[in-house]
Amino acid sequence: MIDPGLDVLVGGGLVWLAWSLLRDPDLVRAAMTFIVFGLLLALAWVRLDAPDIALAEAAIGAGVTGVIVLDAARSLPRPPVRAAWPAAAPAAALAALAGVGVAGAIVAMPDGSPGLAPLVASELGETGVDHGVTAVLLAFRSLDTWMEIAVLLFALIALGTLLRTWAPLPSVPREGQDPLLSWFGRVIAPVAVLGAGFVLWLGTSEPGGAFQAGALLGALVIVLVLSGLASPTGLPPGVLRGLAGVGAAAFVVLAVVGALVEGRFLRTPPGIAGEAIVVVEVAIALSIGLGLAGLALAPRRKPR
Amino acid sequence: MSVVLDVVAGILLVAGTGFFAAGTLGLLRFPDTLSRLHALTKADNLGLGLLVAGLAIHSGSAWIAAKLVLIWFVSLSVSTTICHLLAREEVRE
Repeated sequence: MIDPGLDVLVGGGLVWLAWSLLRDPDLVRAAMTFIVFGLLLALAWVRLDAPDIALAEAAIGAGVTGVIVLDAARSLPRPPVRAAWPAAAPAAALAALAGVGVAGAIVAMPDGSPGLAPLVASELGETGVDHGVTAVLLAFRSLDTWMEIAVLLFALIALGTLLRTWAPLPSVPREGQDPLLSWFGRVIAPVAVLGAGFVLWLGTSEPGGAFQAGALLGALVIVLVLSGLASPTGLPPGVLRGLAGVGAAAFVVLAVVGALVEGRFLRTPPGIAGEAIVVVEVAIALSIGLGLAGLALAPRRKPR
Repeated sequence: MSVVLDVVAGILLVAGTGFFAAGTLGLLRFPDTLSRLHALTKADNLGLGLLVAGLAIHSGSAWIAAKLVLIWFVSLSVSTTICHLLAREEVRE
């Protein structure tokens, strides 16, 4: 359904927000604008008929990444050092060129091209799931998803190396528990866990899936640690590290099983394909949740 | 009957949007952080409640209506906690 007024508002708003956050001398305010930009981008994805990406953008792009950017902006000395115009000109020219190129490619596309959707629909039966996006992510292109999980794991390990600490979560950071925050953490924990499980299960037949569920879990872990309800020192450190790596490990298991049973790397036996995908999705969601939380809650070397 | 329901849903949606606009006006025009927080949380929560009510009536499904109400409760608790934390930081300075 074409709605030119709404689309112009959303598109124009995106361009204006991007421009204003790049030109803002106050990095903290720019970080907040970035979060708003992420939310508007999620709306744009909905307008483009891509609810899975919209969910992922709202949860990960605007949500957890927004927290990381905002926290980093607050830790920087003020006023920040910004590139002068002559240094930024080549970057601006490249960005403009890329924008013109993408626009030209979109205009040159043949009208009404169905893309890969018919191919996905015809092969959907073998994958064990009913939703095209989940099938592409976890059956047709599972290698790409595996590499994405590995990248998150590597980022966590690299961050731990930089900070010279292996603990993925800091010790309780607050000087005293806030009663309302504790109440909120207690109330939202079951809702978030149920919501994450629901979104993950829904991903097999409707928009949803492991990434969105993982972002929910990550946000929950962040809230629990910030409200002082989660004491990571209670668990042995290896447990948290291991849980963050469980997603990549699940893919390794899948690849080995596939190679042994079906004779091909990463090929799932068709009988248990649906169940195998759900198990891998649970592992991915745990990995993403703990990985994102670990990145967001990393201890600062120089507190502001 | 469905026309009456649509009209009622429409009125609720417009009223909800009006409350959101009022909250944004308060954010822009009030002099200090505490009064801005007051305007935002009160008006936005009520606006969201009206929007949820209008959408629930428009959807015509009890299941969807229940999910929308759950979203409203979660949003209510989130916004209350955030408002409290922001106000506490503001008062401390």
